Amino acid sequence: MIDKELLEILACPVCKADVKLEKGKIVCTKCGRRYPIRDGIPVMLESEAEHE
Amino acid sequence: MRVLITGGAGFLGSHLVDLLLKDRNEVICLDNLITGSMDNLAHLQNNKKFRFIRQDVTEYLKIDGPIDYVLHFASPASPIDYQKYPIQTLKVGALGTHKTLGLAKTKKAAHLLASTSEVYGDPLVNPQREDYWGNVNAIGPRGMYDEAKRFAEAMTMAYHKYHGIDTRIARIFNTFGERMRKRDGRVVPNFINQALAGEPLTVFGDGSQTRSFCYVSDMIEGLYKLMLSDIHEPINLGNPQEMSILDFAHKIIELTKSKSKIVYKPLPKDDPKVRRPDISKAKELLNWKPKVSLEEGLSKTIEWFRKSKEEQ
Repeated sequence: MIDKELLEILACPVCKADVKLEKGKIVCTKCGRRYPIRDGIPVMLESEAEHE
Repeated sequence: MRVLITGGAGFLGSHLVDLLLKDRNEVICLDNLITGSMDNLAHLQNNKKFRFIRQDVTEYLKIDGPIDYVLHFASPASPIDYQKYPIQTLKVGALGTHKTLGLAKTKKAAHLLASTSEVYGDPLVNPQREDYWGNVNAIGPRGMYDEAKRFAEAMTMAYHKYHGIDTRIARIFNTFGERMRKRDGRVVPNFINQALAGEPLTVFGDGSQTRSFCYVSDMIEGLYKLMLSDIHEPINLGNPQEMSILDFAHKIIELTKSKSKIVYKPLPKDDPKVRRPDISKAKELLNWKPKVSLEEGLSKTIEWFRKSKEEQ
């Protein structure tokens, strides 16, 4: 899991909006893309995100 | 200070992260891990002053909170890597540098560009001083890296002159040491792997081409001093002790106590024939010069290669 401080410096690589933590994923507050966390590392790559 | 470094999971980046943390800085590290490796940062997992984000800096760069220094170290750096990722190499030099400079501008931070001796191409003067303009084939097999870094330097200088950004440009010459990738195709890992395996060492051409190798701890100290300085002009960092590749091969055989022989293969196109830094500027302005001898640096590196081979 990642800490609050790290979450605060992250942004969505697509729309640059803030992100929040939801069910173990990093979720963009604007477009809703869901980025994985692997071994405690936020993977902020568009190609790795889930998007509806 | 709060420092952001791109390419922090790479060979030089990760060593610089270690020094930054040792000197009590807070470090945010970005890397897309196409050539970098988390193995280089595994020992920092529980360090509260260290944050890692897997991200492509050519896409976007937005970080909350203050930043004092932006260090742009992201780029494939060995010929086999940048020939495998030619577009990414050009993008990280051009778009990546644009993004990191933009961040430095927004945060009123200083920016350091990790440039390279490859901006001199296959040089027609030896040693190379910072005022030499270079001899580069833009469309040759090394052009994507050389030109990406030349563009990155031009962009950095434009941001300095036009936007008044506090910038530095380090022209990094051949560097070796622990955490070099074993299969990155460069001469130091190649020779050490071959010598340790008892295989013949591959020398390209007749081995008369020269290189000057700097041990990583010296390079990192030079980079840190440059970062803390206020020098906007490019600065050569490297070890001026020049030797032929053939002599270097013999040196590796001697230090590994290997029975390996030497085999010769054709010289790749555009391979620089000579490479030696003139470090007068770094000596004078940074009060820096390499301290570690080639033998000492190589012995440490060989030991590391030996150990990490056993772990595999």
